[in-house]
Amino acid sequence: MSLTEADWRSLGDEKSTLPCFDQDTPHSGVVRCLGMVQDMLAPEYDHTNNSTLMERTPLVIAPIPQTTPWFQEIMYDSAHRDKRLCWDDNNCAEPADPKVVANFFYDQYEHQPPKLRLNEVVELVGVMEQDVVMEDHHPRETSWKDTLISAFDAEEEEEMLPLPRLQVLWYRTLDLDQSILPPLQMPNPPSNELVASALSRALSIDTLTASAIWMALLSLAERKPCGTPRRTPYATTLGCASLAILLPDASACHQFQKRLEDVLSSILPSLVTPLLKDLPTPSKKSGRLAQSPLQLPKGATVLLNAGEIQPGPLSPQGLEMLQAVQELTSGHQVPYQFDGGMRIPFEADVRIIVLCTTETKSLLPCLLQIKGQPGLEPSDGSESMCQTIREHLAHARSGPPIDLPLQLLTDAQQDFLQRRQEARLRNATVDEMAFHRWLTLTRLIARGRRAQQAATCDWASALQLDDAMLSSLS
Amino acid sequence: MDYDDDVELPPTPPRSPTTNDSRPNSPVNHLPPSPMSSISQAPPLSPSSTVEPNEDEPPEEEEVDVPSNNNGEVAIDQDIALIRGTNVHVPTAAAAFVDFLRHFRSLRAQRNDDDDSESDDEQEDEPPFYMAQLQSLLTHGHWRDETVPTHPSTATASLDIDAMHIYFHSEACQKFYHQMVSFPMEIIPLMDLLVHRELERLAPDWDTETRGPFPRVQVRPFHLRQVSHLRSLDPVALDSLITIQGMIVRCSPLIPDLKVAHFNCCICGHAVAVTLDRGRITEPTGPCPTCTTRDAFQLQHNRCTFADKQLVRLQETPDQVPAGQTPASVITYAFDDLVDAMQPGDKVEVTGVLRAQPVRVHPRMRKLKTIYKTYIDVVHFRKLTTMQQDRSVVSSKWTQERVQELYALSKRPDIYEQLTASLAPSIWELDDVKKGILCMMFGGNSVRVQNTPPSDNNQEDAWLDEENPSDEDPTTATAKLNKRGDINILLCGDPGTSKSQLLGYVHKLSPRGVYTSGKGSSAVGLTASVVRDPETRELVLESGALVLSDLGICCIDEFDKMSDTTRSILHEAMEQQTVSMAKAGILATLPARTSVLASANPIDSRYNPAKSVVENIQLPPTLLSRFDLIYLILDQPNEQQDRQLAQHLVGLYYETPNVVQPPMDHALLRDYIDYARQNIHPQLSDEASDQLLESYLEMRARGAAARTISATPRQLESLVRISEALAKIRYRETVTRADVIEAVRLWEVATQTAATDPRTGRIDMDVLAVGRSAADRHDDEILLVHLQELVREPIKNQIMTDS
Repeated sequence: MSLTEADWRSLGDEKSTLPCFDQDTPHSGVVRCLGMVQDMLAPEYDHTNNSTLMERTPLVIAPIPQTTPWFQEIMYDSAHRDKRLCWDDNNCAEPADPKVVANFFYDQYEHQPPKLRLNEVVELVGVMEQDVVMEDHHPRETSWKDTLISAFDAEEEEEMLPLPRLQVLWYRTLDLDQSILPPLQMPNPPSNELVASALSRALSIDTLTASAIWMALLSLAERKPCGTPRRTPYATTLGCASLAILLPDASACHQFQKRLEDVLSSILPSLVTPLLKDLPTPSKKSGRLAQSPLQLPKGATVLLNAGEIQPGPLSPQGLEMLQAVQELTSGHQVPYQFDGGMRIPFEADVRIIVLCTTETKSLLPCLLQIKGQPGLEPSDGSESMCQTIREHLAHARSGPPIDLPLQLLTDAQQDFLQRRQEARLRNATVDEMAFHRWLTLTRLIARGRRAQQAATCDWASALQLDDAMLSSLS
Repeated sequence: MDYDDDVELPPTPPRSPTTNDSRPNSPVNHLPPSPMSSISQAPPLSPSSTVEPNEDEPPEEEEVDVPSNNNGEVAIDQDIALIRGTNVHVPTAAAAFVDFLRHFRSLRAQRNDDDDSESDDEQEDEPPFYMAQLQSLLTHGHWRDETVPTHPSTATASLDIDAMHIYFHSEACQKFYHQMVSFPMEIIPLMDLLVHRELERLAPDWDTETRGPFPRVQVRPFHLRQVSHLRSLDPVALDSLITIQGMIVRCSPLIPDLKVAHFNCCICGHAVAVTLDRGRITEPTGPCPTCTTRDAFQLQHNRCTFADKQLVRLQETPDQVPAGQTPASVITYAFDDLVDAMQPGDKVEVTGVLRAQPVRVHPRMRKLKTIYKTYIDVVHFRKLTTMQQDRSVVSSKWTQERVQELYALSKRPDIYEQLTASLAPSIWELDDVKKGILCMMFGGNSVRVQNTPPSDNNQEDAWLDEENPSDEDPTTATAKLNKRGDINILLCGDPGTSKSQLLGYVHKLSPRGVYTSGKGSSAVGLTASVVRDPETRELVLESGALVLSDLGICCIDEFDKMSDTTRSILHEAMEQQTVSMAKAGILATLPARTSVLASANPIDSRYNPAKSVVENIQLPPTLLSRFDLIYLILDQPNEQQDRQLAQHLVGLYYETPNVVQPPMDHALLRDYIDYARQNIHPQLSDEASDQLLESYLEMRARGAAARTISATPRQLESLVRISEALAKIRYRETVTRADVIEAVRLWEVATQTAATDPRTGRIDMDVLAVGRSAADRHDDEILLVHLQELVREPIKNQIMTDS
């Protein structure tokens, strides 16, 4: 049995009265759940009705990592706010691992597995399964006989995940940006300069750095019709721009990180600030994908403080972590380790800001680099300003892919030739990556204007911004 | 042949009293019946028609065998030979299979028969393929575990039967094929039985006293028409024979699987043997027949009979995983000789029976859930790892049509250019670099020379094993001399010249390509390390990049950033093609028959043409000289080139990216290269040898005037390898003069530029071989003479003053 889209719509406001999933007080009826596809388990055959076997795919649904308070308010009804899924939120009393296994039956979806991908944000409605597993969550005391049996049967008798199970009736995928889209278009969207200046005031930093941060927040992968991000021949993702802000020392990095966290948590739906020390990389061993802070849904934001990296020998795990983070910052993808030494890169269409010092700037390569000059005066981040930027950002990122007209590309070609020749005279390099960076900035500036097509003025602004960023470094 | 119901089974020779020992021993006989049998469409066999013997019942031969006819042959009673719940008519199925065994020669012969063409005498003389194998089994006795020939269960062997042979043999066999796929639990034991009878027919005079009990043969069908995907397995396929492909990621230790349990009464010692029945051993709890004590039986472990069993986890290979999904995996169980037949990391094709078992609430509780987990009982393993010298794999990997297509392509005059254009089409220009890389992917011929000359002079050629690397253990390098066929390439030049992209492309194209960065690689990362297995807690050898890319290509980016220790490992790997290690009490020499494709950036960020390659990239000359081709990719000012580059870059940003469509798609290119690597082994023709000598002497003569060395024997070996690769590109068995000329041109474009002394503009191989040119050495000598004169002058003056 399944709910159709029409059924769901006909529920209207009744939807909000559906209880949210709560592990502590399990409901026996229909519940609603919002989360991220954290792991995909092997298909199972269910034999409930004694006549036919029904195939189903169990997916582990985990809370969206590090959601910000305003996002939680929007996404969860106020009546159920206390029962929302949350993660690492000190105000929340839920257990540390509030995951759920969602069973998707094939016959519900035209005998196809659900079209869900790892790390996708999904909203589910389903019935909590009254399974025997639920009765026996607690670890048993193991005897020597158990150990002997498990020596041979460890793989044979893979224990079921001790997680509550949800039999999915209806689901939909969500986009973090679109899910917070305000219903009405803003009549006069602020210009890129205006947003940059507001951010500059809020963060107490120079306007150029604020512009670069705004570009990083607009970063969004251009996708193929099949939904996968377009990759460039330079192992980067088209449309994505990571930003590295060079700061004088580690303490400046730390201070500015706090300031960024304060301001950005009012603007962005999910802000992840992983500690680079002991950061585990996503790894699926023995059939389970261990959750890692690098496992992120599309639209999340990662704030990395490279200033905390200390010189010294790296352990093999540290090396692995560093390589994974490098791949994230330079190529917007994260390698996942699987059994048999298999290493598969997964897309990480996230916004990346790296805070670094001159010593650590080459450790995490980013497309954009700028030298930040944070001021000392307290930030001026009014709630209304944050809401304006938030709504503008949501609209800008929810727009269609930015088209680059032929005339612009022809101009770009001429400019590239000219700049390349000029650079040779200065004994400098203007390479393919520079060209790629200019066109990415052009797209982002056009997106910031909420335009559907980039214009020559965007190209000129992109060159201007890039020149300013490069000169700030020198 | 007309397969009517009157078909007769082959005559059965008189059986010895130990007939029970010669029961068929199918791999499927090991397996407990599927718990799904009550749900699926395959109910168990009826007692009257079962083809699987039961310990408590007379062997099924008695049921299938019917009174002999006049010729002493045995006919089947038509009325009792239907398998219950199926449409399998045993006599018809048996007749089809026996006909296949006795008459199948080869698919080629089969096609000729189908075309009604006149089969020549050679084909008629060709013995039936599988009968020849059975005869060979009897003659050579390839039985497993011959050390204990008297034990009835040890004299066993397996007969691999290509399912495509069955399918294409006849219409009746096509039907038999479908029955085998649908009801493997019933048909495979029948095949065992029939093969066993054929074996008995071939050896009617088998003397059990001298030769032991009559051996058993397990039939192992493989290579089904349809290869299933791990993701597409569904309940419909349960209990049927399937073929899937994947990579083995884990093997369990050997699991002793109890077959016959031996119980002793603890009061009187009365012994009872209980056979495994439907996956269960029933413990005798009733009164002891001797002393009538109840619940007095104890299991005697050392007297029980066990079979070998192993759990093997199979996982999708990265290319099979859809975007955004995690790799699917399935548990398989291997039995008997299939245990330890494959290793983790092997890419295999598994043929087996898809089964399902209910999940227990807890491993120690019998209570079951309504959920079933699937697994596969393996009937046959076939290694798929490409670039491997396994003839059986090679012959069946490509269809005849594909091979024809590949050969048709190879006949195109512009195939060399087409392949070049198909390699990394998004990377602009660099055609000569791509041609060099193409040669690397095809590779030359490896020559392995045994150092123990044969006694018979007539067999001189026999100890020249000129083949691509085989499965033979290459680590016995002390016993052999090797000439590598793998071509190593170094790309060196300015940043932003697509070197890394080329490496990435080659890594993806090569079936056993490994990509690593010199900056992030340690010596152990390249070679191997001893680690503790997290599950078994045992020390195991974990292979590094060079070992993993054995018989493939190892792409090393940022080669110049590698530490000296790591580089020193490469010296051995790039010439001897092995890596040696001694750690934690494990001494090992591992094969590393790999081509190295490396990229390096200049030490001063941009390449300085006023300095030599060694000075620019700061790599030890001993390592540089191991590269066959060294390409300098420089970002030189050239407006025309800049314009083309800009056009190319802009093209990538069009709505429909203006990427040149390669003439050959990825799969075709990969097949083309794979086929050549495995099947084409060109030999140098006389004219090619002459041209090689001529070119080499000419190269040497160029340096003679300036007293520099412009070519060394290492370059001659490189030229041979490149020439062989060029012949492979055109699927030719002979290296021609044109191949040598092109090889020389490629070498000149690449290495010669790198070996040019920037001061004199002359080619000097010493620049690469020792890191200093002849001109440098000459300058040093002059400097030394002047210094000596300067030192001697005051001394001479002093002596004169003193005197």
